[in-house]
This record gives sequence, C-alpha cells and structure tokens, in this order.
Amino acid sequence: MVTIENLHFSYSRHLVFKDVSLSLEAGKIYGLLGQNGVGKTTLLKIISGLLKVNSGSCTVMNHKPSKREPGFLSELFYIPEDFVGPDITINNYAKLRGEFYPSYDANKFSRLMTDFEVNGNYKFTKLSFGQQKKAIIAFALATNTRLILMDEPSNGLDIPSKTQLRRVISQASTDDTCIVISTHQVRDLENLIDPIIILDKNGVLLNESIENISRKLCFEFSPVPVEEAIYSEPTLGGYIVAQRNTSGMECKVNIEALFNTVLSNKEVIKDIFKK
Amino acid sequence: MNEIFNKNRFFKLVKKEFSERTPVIIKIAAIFSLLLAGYWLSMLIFNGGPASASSRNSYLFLATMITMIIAPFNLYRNYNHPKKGIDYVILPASVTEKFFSMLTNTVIFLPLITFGSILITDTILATISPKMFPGYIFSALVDYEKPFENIFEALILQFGCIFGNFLFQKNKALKTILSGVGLYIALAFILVIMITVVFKDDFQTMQNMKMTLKVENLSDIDKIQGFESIGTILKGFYYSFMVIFYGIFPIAFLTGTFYKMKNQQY
Repeated sequence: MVTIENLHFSYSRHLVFKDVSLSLEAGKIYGLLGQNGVGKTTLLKIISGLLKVNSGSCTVMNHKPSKREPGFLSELFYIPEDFVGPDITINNYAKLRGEFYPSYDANKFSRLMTDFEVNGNYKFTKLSFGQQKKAIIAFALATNTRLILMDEPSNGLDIPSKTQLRRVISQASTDDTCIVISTHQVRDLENLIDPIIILDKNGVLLNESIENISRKLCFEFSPVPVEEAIYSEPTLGGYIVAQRNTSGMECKVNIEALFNTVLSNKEVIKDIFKK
Repeated sequence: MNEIFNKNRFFKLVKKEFSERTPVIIKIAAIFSLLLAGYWLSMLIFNGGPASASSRNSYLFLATMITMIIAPFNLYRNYNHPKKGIDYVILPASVTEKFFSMLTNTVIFLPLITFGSILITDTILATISPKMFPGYIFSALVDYEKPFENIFEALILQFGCIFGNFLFQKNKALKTILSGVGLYIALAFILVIMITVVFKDDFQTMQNMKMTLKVENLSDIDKIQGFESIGTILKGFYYSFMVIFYGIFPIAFLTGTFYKMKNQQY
C-alpha cells in the first residue's frame, strides 16, 4: 500500500530523513513510535502528500502523493495532531465533505458520534479540543478510506474516550485498510498497534510485527537487575528487563520497554532482527 | 477518475465552499448595506440634504470594490496556514477545481451578493423616503461611465490580493498592500528613469518648444510636425503600461496563485 524508497527529506538545513526505506501493507494497524523531532509527523505528511520529498520516492496506492490527485485523496484520510475545525456544525461538516469520499457512510458517522458522545449539532469552535478530535476521528473512520493516518489520536481524549478509540479503530481495520498511528502514548494503544515502527534520526530502527518481536525478545519483571539483559529499567518494586528470547515461546511485548530497548541498543536490535 | 477537472466534483466543491462561507458573506454584505442605512438614518435625524442617485451609485461601486479586495483575506485566509489549511488540502478535489471554486466565491459570489444587498437596501430606502434618496440607484447604473473598465481594474486589484493571500502566511492584508505600494513605486521609478535619462533629449526638445498641446488621443501627436518621435515614445509608454497592467499583471497574479496552491507545503 505504501512504499518508500531511499527517502531524503530536510527542512532547509535540518535533515530529517536520510535514505529511509519502508513498506506498509494493507490489513494492519501500524504504530509509529519515535522520540520528539525524529520525523513521525513529517513521515505522515509525506505519505499524505502535504510535503514533497527532496529525493527518493514515496508511492501510495500507485499514486505519487505530492501530486494530490483526487483519486488518491479520496482513498486517504490524515488526522493531524492538533486538528482545528472550521466554524460550522459537525453534521454540516460531515455532510458537505462526505460527498467527496466514494465509500462514506453517514450512518457509521452517526453511530461513531453516539459512541464518542459528541453532539453533531454543535459547531467545532464551540467544542473542546478532545471533542473536536473525537468528531474528526469519527468522520475519518466513516469515510472508509483505504489508508488512515492518525497523528497522536489519543492526545486530549479522556479515559473512556481512549477505550472507545481503541474499540472503533480495531473495528475499522479490515483486510483492505491500513491504519498508521503515530503516538507517544503507547499504553493508550497497546494491544491495538501491530506492527511497530520505531524511527530515529537516521531512519527506521525497527519495523516488525508483535509476533515477530515476541519470538525474539522477552520482557519480564525481575526484582533484581539481570546481568545478561539487553536492557533493564527500574520500576516499582524491581526492574523491567528485556532479554533475547531463547525459549522459543512467545512473550508479551511491553511496547514502552521495547521502545527504550531499541533506542539504547540500536546495533544489538538490528542484529537480532536481521533478515 | 478525471484527476484534473470533473464538473460534478467542481459543483460539489463550490456548494461546499459557499455553504461554509455563507455566514461571512452575509456579514460583509450586511455591513455595507447597514452603512448605507445608517447614513440614511443620520440624515433623517439631523435633517441632512438629499443624497443623489449618482453619489449613492459611487458608494455602491466603492463598497463592491472594497468587498472584492477583502474577499480573499476573509474567505480563504487559512488555505496556506500550516495547520488550518490541511483540512482543505486533503479534500478529494483537484487543485484546478479548488482554484476555480475559490475564484467563483471571491470574484463572483461575495461581490455580487454585496452589490445586490446594497442595491436592494437603497431601493427600499429610496421608496420609503424619496426626499432623502431621490431617484433609484439602478437608473444611475445605466448612465455610469466606463463600468466595464472600472470592474476590470477592480478585478486586477483583486487578483493581486488573491495572490498576496496565498503568498504570505501572516499579516497577509498588510503585506499585500505594502507589496502593491512597492510595485507602484518601482514602476514609477522606472518611468522617471526613462523620462529623465533614456529619453532625456526628446523630452528636453518637447519642453523647449513651450507650447500647449491638446490631443484627443495619442495617435494625434504623430500628426504634429516635429513630434513624430515623441509620439512614438509616448505611445510606447502608454501601450507598455496597458500591456503590463491589463495583461501581464492579472495573468501573473492568477498563475502565481495557482502555483502556490499546487505547491504549498504544510
């Protein structure tokens, strides 16, 4: 669905991506993780055609995103981190924009709005940031586009809404759709995102399915530090340790610990996941 | 799917744009109509003299022209905003459709609605109190001199404002006005250089003749003995100015706007 090859991108003198290659497939919910400023939002913007690459290529559903062709745009929805809605009611917004998406489902939109407990008769400008975000997520999922890009979707949402978000995203995922979620709040989306993509300044550090990660790494609680651990971090009453999985049994992946493990052991991780 | 221009998609887009902007359009049209009504009311209270149809006609055109100039800054100010503009850019319509839809709203709908609103207000007021507002404004419209030339000049100014709206991200109106003033000064400077340096001798000759000329049009200068070369120069100036102002400027403004819409990075 998305193929990125030898991508180079920079904001004037600030280099963001150098020779990055990445491939995203349909039927998956990708979790895009990375420290601040590594280019998560930039990557989503490149995929959605909001930014043009300096060199290399980005192909999305056989389209060049930077051309912003209607055929491409009608199959993609990008939810920015800080969405600012226009000064119209949500229902009017959905009605006027829905016409542009061939698979838009007005009933699904109403249902999602009810699930999120947002009143569509209100104007965006009269709602809180979280309410606005829920409305745009509901609309995005109702468009039934094949590719949905979400930048920090759980930011600004209350606890019940985060639960709702996990539920509606998992329901929206089909064999034909690809959802990419950029987030810092990994706990909000644990058990939802799979595969995991971890970015750093030099590109993609990890792009693996949870199943594959759990076959190769084990995350366990230990009351004392483990010497042969790849990574350990102190936690309440002990340590969370990441070790090579030598048992062959699948272990539960702690995404937060995985992220820290990958960042502090880049070469080791590359070696473990070498194909 | 037609990726450049699709008639149905274009009309859907125009409908969407107009629906979303209706409150702003109504607000602007109402302000200019209320100004006229306020003027009428103040004359009624303070026993002012009557306002002729031609002076109200001038107000009608001035208000419409102001509306044309402020239209892009009010209706499409967020297009190149790094956050607020995203919503519009990812909308599944081509840049060509978005460009023409934007022109439809700024060049046709808003000015026309303001024009119509003032016209209706004036007609009502002129009917209620013919002493204060003698004659109807629409009858003065027929006698209005060079309406098309004025409309075209207003359009060129508006195209400049549309371009400024897409070129600048902050303080758009101020920067556009300053750029317009800068452009005017640059053109005036070129003209002064041409007169005082390049064609200095020709104009010196003209000045030394110490005579008054009354010509109906530029071609008449050629007929005066000794003025053949100056006539050519003046004509050259005049036509160059016409080509630049009426031809190059509007094309450059519209092309620049389209280019900015197509290539704006967010």
